[in-house]
Amino acid sequence: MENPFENYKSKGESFDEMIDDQGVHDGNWQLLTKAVEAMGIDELKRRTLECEESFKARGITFSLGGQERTFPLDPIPRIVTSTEWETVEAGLIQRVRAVEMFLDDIYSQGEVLKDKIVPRRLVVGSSQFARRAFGINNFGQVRITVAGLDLIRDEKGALTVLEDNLRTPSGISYVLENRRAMARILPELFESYEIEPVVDYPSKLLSALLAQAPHHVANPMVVLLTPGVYNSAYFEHSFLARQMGIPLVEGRDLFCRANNVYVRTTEGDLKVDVIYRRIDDDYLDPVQYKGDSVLGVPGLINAARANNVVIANAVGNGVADDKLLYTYVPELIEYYLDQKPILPNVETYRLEDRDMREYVLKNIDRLVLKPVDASGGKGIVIGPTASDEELAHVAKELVANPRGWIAQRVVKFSTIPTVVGSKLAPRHVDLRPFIVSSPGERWVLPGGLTRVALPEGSMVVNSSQGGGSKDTWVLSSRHSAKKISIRQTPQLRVEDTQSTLDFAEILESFSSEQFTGSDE
Amino acid sequence: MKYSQRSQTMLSRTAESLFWLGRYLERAEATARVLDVHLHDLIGTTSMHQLRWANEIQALVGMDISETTFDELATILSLSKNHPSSISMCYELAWQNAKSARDTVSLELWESINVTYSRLRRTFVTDLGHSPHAFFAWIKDRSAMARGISDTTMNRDQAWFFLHIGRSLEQLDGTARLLRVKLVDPDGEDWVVALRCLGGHEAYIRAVQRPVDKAKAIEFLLTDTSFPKSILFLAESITDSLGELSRHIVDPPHKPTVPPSLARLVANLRYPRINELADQADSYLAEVEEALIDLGQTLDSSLFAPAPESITSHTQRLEVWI
Repeated sequence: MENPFENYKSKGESFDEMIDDQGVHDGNWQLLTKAVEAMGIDELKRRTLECEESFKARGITFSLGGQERTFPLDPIPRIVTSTEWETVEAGLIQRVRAVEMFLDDIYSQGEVLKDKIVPRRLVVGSSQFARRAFGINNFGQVRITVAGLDLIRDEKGALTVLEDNLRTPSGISYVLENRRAMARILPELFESYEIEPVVDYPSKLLSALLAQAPHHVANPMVVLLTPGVYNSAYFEHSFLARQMGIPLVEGRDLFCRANNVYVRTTEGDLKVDVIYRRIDDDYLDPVQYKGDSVLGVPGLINAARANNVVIANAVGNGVADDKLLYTYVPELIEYYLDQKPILPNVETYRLEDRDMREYVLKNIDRLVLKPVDASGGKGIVIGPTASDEELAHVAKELVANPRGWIAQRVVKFSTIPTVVGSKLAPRHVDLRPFIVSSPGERWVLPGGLTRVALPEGSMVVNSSQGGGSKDTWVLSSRHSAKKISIRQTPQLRVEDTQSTLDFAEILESFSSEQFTGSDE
Repeated sequence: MKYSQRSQTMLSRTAESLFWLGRYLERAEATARVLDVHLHDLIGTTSMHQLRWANEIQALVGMDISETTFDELATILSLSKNHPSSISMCYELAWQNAKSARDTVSLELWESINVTYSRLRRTFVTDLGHSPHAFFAWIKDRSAMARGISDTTMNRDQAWFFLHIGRSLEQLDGTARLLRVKLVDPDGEDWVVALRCLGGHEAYIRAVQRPVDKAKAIEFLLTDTSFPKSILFLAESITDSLGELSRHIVDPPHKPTVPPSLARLVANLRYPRINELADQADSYLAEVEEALIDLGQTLDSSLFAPAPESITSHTQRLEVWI
């Protein structure tokens, strides 16, 4: 049988997470590669296909242009050591904490603006800045209940922050479903690797939501507000509602009366205390935002201001997602926490600065240009691959509106072996970790969603543009590469009567293998 | 206790979705049964006969009666994207309702409906494949599977009862419609076919132990409480379910009450005057109709709690009561 790892080479210019330039394997990958070699790529693909079928049957899909699609799962997981993860965890918590303090600040006293750390016009000029958010969530709640940052590993292997998503980050359902699927695809490995579990997410989120309920409520009612079945993330909404055991509501199920929010149930109208919303600010409350939105609830914002209901994530968070503000986050960390940032930013150019703009225009074909307020990879122009017309167009746009764009160095995302045809090839990946915050606690899901760009050389990982996903294994500190072994299941062959009947031998092989290597 | 468990809340919209999910699953199966029975009997019948059946089936599913061959009719009622009784449409709507209530239906039930629906959409687009029988058998199997899965995987809380009431109500409606169509049949010879349309021929033989005749068949379909699709059985089952629901619903003004017309129907069928059943079938059917309308109103007004005008205008429900 052909060894799928034969001829696997790192691409040189980007960092490969399994193998270095000299072709030396990272120690933690050994068992995985052994298991995959023993199984053969065809068997691996068969098992993956089986899981994909079950994804389809269970409707673990997202809708794209009216089609229900699965998010393809690549069976080769990503492995992260516990030591590295500890640093990442600290870095994520630090970053979310600083941004939380920043949001609290700009929606109240605005000290950071007075101290001129961040220019006032940058904040108030952001399309996501919301005057309506003043005075909301000041009752011991957090503004960023769920954060989903985008991390990438740069050419040297260092994890770097690419984007902050503090509004309604999605993808967690795939993390949980991928883990379940992997336990079926590579069960052998779950015995050998000590992997940090991800199943706690729903209960952590529910606790964080409950902890924010208005204090006078004895038995809070928490609901998940979805835009409805036509939303591309509807599966995730229903998944989370099921996992947390809370009602999945649409805007039309809720209404406001005297600054209270109620849900229509078979038992009459029940008061709602906490809303985990997966609707954008703009559609949340037609009284305050888009008047023609039928997804939202008229009067919701006022009910929140009266502290009769808590909206999580808070309104107005989008200002911190602004990609120009992103460039200030390291400064915010130093300003609020008096600490050095643990996770670095990607080098970014602010185009309002004349010198930087000149530099960017000169080197536009070697940079990535991003609109500051878009999400999901919309509007991004990648210099090296863009056509001349595209570059000329974006150059004109950013001169006309320097506040609306940022420029970044093209980072070559790291690669991980990925099943391509009948062998494994390096493909670029990013990582979306999830941070759940409640008033007293911040919790980082071990791992997160690893997205992989399946076309060769591509660095676009978005699910809508040919991206797939991988399970992310954060090894527990208990994990030791020495302690582990893969138990081979004894093969029983019917035509070989002699050996099938020799139970003693089989039993022996069982027990001897079980103890191999496990003595310390 | 801040974190004490809440009683299960059931959104009005979700309750309505579950109710319609039950109805559409049942209707898909009913259509498959009727078509399958007639397809089977088609062999060796005259074209006159076929035409009459086609008309009967059209009356049965509430279509405007037009001249059409049985084959055409079977295709329309299996695959049409417009007719509310076509199998394809029923599954489409069942799937939509299941999706909208996805946090409430059990995962396995959702999976089963999702698989049926996507196979319907993928495989059966323009024709029924190599064998219409196989298609109808498959639909019957899938419906039985959905029923079995919901009965074994869902808690007997509000969700299941709404689903169940939807199913029972659709069955009650189905039996009543069949009786209505067959009663106006001038020949009155087809009572075996009528029973088979409900999967009740064998049940009749077991229960009645006499050859099929019109009067006995009518009595059987109206009152035999051993037959799970008889009017009385279903009316009592709905009465019981409403009682169960009202036990789950704590808030007094929202407790569903049994409509008087339904209670009267049950009483009249339980204690009929001797020998009047078959002769009075028409008046019983009128009572069934009244009970169905009242049930619909009870559910709509007290449980599905119609939203104020401003909101209802945005909902895009496709449900059709026949």
